[in-house]
Amino acid sequence: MRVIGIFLVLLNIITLVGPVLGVILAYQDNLKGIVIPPQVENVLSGNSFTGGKIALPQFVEATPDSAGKTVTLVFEFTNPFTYDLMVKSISADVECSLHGFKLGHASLVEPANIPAGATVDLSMRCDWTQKAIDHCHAEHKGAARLDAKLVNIIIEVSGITIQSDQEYPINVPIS
Amino acid sequence: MYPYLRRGETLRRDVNWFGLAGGAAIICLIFISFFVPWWKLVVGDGLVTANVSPLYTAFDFVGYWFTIPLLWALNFGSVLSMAAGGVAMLIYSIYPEKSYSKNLLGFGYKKPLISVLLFVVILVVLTQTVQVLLGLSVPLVGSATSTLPQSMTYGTVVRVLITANFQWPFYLATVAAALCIAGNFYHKKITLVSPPAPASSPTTAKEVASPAQ
Repeated sequence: MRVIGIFLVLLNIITLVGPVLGVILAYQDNLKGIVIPPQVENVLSGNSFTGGKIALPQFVEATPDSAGKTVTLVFEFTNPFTYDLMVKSISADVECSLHGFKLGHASLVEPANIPAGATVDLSMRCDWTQKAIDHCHAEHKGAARLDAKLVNIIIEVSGITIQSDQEYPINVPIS
Repeated sequence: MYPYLRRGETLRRDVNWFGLAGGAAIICLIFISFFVPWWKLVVGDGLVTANVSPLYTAFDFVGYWFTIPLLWALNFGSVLSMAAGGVAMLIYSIYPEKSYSKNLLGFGYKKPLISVLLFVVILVVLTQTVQVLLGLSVPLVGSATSTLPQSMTYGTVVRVLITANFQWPFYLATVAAALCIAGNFYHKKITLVSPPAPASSPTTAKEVASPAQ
């Protein structure tokens, strides 16, 4: 019985220590890899994404409606992950770049699913306030386009809410 | 083998049913744990997922699955240890009166209990450590909205919904631990009721099976 007892104690030790020793031997040239393997480093550095690095959406165009009360902003976004992203909402205030005057509020027209590695157009609709229309008539009389910026940007994507204090420049037509 | 058996007696062998069920539960648990984690943590709508158990741990970061070699080694050690414990419990339970049975029982019955306790303790310590070091609230059970430290997000405010829950294999492990402990208690009952060997002129089982002409 003593032999069985000793065998079981040895079995305990071998099963717990053996695999750890094995991994240490396998990674003896790169001990850091035991905790942070090369694959994880790749993930953290973004090298294993399908489309390269994460990039901000690119502003494509702005189209005003016939009444001149709203404008549709189109952005192009590439999903760099090997994972479908669901953009539930985007909202931002639109300000005149020159005067810092608030022109209106923009929000995503409809939630968008972006498949892994795909590039899609995201449309945001901006409603001009009456004060914004008055501002354009007073301060930008005769101008066809206006340099503006998106501020207080809030993006909700796949359960993560990102609130940025960065400004995003856009150029919109005014009538 | 059964010197106390006399003519006309039936051959009866005690089986520790609690231990047998516990051993079987351990073996089932090992296989199940490769497919279903004991504890699952999801960040956002599955953007980041952690499938955690003492037997298999894997992470999914935006569609990219990986494991950590040190965790893999610890998991593999646990698999070997649990498998040995499960087999020991099964052998013991079928032959609880053998001279080596107590060794096997002592080796096997604590394995699931230790796994469950250590697992919960490590989870609690890890979630608390993340909270203290990163200020990130990670729930052990349920959902919480946490704000990532701005040092990690370059000044951008990033709020994430974190959901964590124990999965059914964790409860199976708890049941296996309870069965093994019950098996340990039942072992005392078996050893108490086992009839003692007669003092003189024993009739062997062979004689019972083939009576003298």
